[in-house]
Amino acid sequence: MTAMDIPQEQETQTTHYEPLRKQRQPDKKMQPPMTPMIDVTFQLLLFFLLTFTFREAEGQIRGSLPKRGSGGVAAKETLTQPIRIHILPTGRARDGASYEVEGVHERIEDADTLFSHMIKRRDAVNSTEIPVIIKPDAFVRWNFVVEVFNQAVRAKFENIGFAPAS
Amino acid sequence: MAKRKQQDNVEFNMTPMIDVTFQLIIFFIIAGTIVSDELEALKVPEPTNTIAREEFNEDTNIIVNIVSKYGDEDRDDIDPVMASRADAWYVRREKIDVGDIETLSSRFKAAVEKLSEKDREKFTIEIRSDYRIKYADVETVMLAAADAGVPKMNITAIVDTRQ
Repeated sequence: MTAMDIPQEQETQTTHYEPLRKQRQPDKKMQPPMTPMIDVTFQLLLFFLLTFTFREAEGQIRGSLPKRGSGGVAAKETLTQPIRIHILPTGRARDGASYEVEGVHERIEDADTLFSHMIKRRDAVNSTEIPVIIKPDAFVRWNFVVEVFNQAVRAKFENIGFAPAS
Repeated sequence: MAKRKQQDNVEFNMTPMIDVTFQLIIFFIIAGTIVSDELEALKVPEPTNTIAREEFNEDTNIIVNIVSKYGDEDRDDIDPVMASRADAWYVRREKIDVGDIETLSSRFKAAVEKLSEKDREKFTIEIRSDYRIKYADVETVMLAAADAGVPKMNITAIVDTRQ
């Protein structure tokens, strides 16, 4: 019998001594306690969810400031007749408005009509440089002022100004 | 011989859930601070076919908030006449009494003076007014700005997000 013939013991079959105390305790993964952290996290999440208010997206419309003095407007004066738009409050609580365009007999009640009128005036002289002068009544609500301003910018007028409130 | 039941510890994998939760918290913290900065609670106008663009935000040097006493409340029982009166002006979180044009002008002038000669020509104020405020109360602010030598103005309105 040579040394080669001796069956070699497998590694797994090797018996090692392990104390009983060690055998009974399974290997535990050391982990920090997650429960309180998750608790706090949820509390924070709930707080932010409840207190958060979604706002509507706001943007800006470029404008020019009015100038003091009689008839002082920021719009550049040109030879063309300016489009003067008066905004007048309507309703008992002055919570509505109608638009009076100089040279137009009927009052305009809605923004789209005002817009199409501006387009007509613009195309008649084929120029976007005609001054648009907005003259709101002192008691008219701000949203109607912005409405008229918005329609003028939408109609591609480049020279829009405010006249002092009447 | 009865099979020995192996007791497996069935546990949720909490890691992705905590990840998502933290992401949400960070979002709300950041979004909350950005929104509250300089913007008072009020309802800005929403014109038909609005052409308001968010890109003009970059031009703004000073935001003037013009609030009614109702803030951003919009109920049916609100008195429209009371809501049309400006309650206060807010410039950089500072409350200025309506009519105190001197203080308002001094804030504009101080902001203009901080800028270099070149930047002064581009100085822009943003009029962020509640939609119910009467024009006379907004005009006061616009005239004060014009008197203080502010050359440009932006008007805040709701953006059409469909565009």
